[in-house]
Amino acid sequence: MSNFSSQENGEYVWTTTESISQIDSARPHFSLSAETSRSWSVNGRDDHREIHLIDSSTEEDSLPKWPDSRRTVSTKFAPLRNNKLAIYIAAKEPTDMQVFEFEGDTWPLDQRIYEYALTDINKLQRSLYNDGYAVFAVAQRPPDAIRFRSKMGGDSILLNAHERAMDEISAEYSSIIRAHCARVSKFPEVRRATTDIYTVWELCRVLFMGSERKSARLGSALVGWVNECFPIKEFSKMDITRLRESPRPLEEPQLWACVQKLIVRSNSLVNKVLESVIRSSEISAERQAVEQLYGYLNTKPRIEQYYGREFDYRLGQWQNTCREFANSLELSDENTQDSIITIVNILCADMQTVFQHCYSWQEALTAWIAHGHPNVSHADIRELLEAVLPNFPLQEDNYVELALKAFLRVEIEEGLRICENIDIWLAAHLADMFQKLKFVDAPTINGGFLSINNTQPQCSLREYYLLSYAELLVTSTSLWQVGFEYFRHCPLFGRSYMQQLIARMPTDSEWKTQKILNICKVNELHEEARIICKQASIWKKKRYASAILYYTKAGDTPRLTKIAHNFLDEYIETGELTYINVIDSVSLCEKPDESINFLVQYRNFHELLKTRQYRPAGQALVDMLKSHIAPRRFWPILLINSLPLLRQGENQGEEVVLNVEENSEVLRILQEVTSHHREEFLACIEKVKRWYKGDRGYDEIDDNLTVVRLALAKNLSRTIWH
Amino acid sequence: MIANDNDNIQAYHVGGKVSKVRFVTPASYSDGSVFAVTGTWDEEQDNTLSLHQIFRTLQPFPTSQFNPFRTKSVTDIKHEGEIRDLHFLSHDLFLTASSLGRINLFRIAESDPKTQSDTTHKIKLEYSNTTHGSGTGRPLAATGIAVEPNNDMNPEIASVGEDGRLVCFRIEENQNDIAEQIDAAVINGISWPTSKEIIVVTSGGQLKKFDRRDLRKSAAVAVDKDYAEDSLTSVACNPSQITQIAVGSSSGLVTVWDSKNLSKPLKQFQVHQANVWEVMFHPNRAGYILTGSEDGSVSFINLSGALTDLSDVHTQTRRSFSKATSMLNPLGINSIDYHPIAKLFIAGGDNEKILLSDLS
Repeated sequence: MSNFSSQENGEYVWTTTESISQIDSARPHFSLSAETSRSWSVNGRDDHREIHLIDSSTEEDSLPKWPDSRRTVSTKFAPLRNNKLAIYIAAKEPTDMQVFEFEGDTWPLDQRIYEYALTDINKLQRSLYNDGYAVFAVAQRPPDAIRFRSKMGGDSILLNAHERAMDEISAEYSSIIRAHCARVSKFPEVRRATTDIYTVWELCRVLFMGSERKSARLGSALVGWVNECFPIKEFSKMDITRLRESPRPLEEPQLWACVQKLIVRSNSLVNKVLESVIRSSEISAERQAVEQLYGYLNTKPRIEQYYGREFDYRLGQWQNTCREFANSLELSDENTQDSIITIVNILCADMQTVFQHCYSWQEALTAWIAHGHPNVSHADIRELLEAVLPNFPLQEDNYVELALKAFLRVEIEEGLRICENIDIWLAAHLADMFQKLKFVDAPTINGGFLSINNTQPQCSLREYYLLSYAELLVTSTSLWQVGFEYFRHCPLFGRSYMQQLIARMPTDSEWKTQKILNICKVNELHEEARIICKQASIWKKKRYASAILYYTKAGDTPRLTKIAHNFLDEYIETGELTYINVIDSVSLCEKPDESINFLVQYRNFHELLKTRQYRPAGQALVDMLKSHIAPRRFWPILLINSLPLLRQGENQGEEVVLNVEENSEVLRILQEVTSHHREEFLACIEKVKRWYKGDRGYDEIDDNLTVVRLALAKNLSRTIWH
Repeated sequence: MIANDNDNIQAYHVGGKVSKVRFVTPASYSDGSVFAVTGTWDEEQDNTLSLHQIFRTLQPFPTSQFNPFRTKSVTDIKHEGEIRDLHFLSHDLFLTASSLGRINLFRIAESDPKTQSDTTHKIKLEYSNTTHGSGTGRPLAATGIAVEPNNDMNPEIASVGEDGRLVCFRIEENQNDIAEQIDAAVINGISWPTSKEIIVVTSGGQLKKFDRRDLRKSAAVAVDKDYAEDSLTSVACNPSQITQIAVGSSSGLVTVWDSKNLSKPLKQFQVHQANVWEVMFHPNRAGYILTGSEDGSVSFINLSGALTDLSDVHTQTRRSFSKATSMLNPLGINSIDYHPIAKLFIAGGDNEKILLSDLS
């Protein structure tokens, strides 16, 4: 049994001296490479996880070359970020993966360190990943080929064709995340995870991807973002409806808190609430004040009405009017008086008042923007954020908050790094968009497999995150195909990842093998396809027709020869043509492998014999001998096979089955076999004697094949006579 | 050839890579909705059979956002092994071929309205029969099912599998009548056009015709010599012209043969770039073939030449076939079906979605 222990230095180490021969193919896990099949278990944090090492590349015949003592594998595990495990296998490099020749007993060690995801992808999350790929695939097209069903509105005139395409793409991503939220609404955990993704995505869209970033609408877009992603906590829609329907709204204790919150949020519902207050109250100084407030709210200058500096001037003017109104207020109801003054302070962007009425920095930031800096530009946001943050407790362990802050500060690399902890999907797709919009550019990170002697070039952030995401997908039992699609879009390392991983995909059926081979075909991974074909035929033990098909595709001549020899040996042992069914099931191209071609020819020869076409059968026999297509150890059989032909010529007395030339060729071969390769010949004849019956009109065969000699001599004399 | 994205194709998540999709054969089509069954593959443990109801949404003024269909997942049931084929016997009975070498019979039953049930229908397993790979120690997939034609009472069922066997049995007699090793390679598809004749296609690139009365030896074998190394992946017989056979191959070819003369193909179309996983003859339009392929596209082939008047297929048209992809489904299409009354085309694939489109 195996042990999996935690060491003092924080490393997990697992060793075994046993090899487990049974491959558990019913659990098609991502397999790691090793030279023999083994399986080990890792007790993950949540539930039992298994990692299966599947005999991926070793061929049966090469196994004896591995002494038992060398099959021992030791492995080292080290936990990584994101619930991943790094695994080093102290094993020899699988033969098919070796790129160089080696000599003698020294086998190269497998130098790779593998990553394995401990958490599986939640089944519910798969539909987002699938949809995400559909959009991603379109995003990789040239801008003029990007076309979605729903055209996005907005200030698209500010964007060039490429930016407009990206705007559409980002909107499409938003809509698939929203749709996913709706789909998983009954599953709180997944819904929360999806909402997190959406919150970060939408902020990035406002800040970096849409037309808002280039227009004066950035401020209102940020307000829209907070209203969508952080709904008001203190009041529900029901509360607001209740207030609106109240017979005496001014007496409702919640009224002013609600109105203040709606104003902080720039929520237009505030108008409806105030309208109902005016409608249901009797004429009084309070009602009059509310009417005035309502009027001011509706005359607030809107940014799209004015151009440039004029807006600032108009806003200042309006705020002064509001202040004057507040100062002149003399109401008997103190509560109403104070509440209206507070509202005016919010409208005039009094920092302390605004912050007092916000429960989070996100709300405060956008409220301050909405009332104090509606025409905020990209460059101002950072400064505003730094002013807001000290007023609110920070949750340093909340990745969403950290990511939002990083993106608001335009620290894109940091933001992406944090997003990796939220969902690698988010990091990968943001990185792709950022690179396309040229927010990240320079190669910064080491990509590719971690290697012991790490000398790999650097890749872009986009590729780094796409590779991480794709690698996670490949380990999934269901999304592995999507993973390979992502690799295709990684210019630097995508191909090498595919090369490393595709041949290690576990497969337990013809159907899946076909799917894997198609990925090889699309990506021109010919060498890997060859390896997969070899593996596929290994698990098809005794399924010779399939093995021949796969080995033919793999161009594996030695294997085909071996299969052919097995069949021929079986004939030498039993005198039965057992392989007819196999050969009949395989359609061969015009130039099949030589050994398989011989099987076909030999089968055809027997067919001719059976249908009494003796002359063509004779020619076929001589052809097989002359062309040396038949393996030499099978020559004695062919010579014995000539007996029924020769006897036929004897009986009929007329038909020439073998002419002089052919006769002497067969005689020459006979001579060669019996004298020059005597040992091989005798071994064969010994086996033949067991099943060969002498009742075919000839004496039993002896160690010199005298019967064949005599028959050939008779045939020669008869041929000359004719 | 690059196929165009077709905006008329709508996609709906079904929660699992779809290996087979079939419409429930209707007694009638009246209330504007149809049912379809999907089967999944490549799930670690829980492959499922799901029943979906598809509604046509009626909207007087269609907009660009208009979605002509609405789907509802009615019920599902776990299925042992991947679903490799799905064949309806009647409006409520269907057979599945499983990757564990079994043929299962399921019944779609309407829930008893008296019981407090969330769903209107249930799927129940009625019968199961191991037909493939039992002798080899590990299960080998059953890959295709065909049902004896013109025998509605107690039809014989034929299944083929990765073990190269053809098994015939009747559900009521709880044993296999015949289990014949008809091929040494893998059999990928089967069709049973007349009571005497059974057609299979193999990974060895062969189309084999058998006489049901003697399955020991094939009555004829067809090989397309130009593409001998291709594996044949799907087969269908023309219901209105039973000697016509359509075969899909691993290299994306669709070949039409005449079962009376298998010396050379009647017609051939290089439609797809990868495995053609399903071919079917259009039930309403003689001489038209529908296909679905690993290259992510579906196609519509006109056997008698150029396509004309296909207003419902807004696709790139070249010569005698048109091809459509959906932006919503970049991965392979594993299965297709057509509803002859609702005139609805359905496809399912590795994007865990079903695709729907009107097609006359």
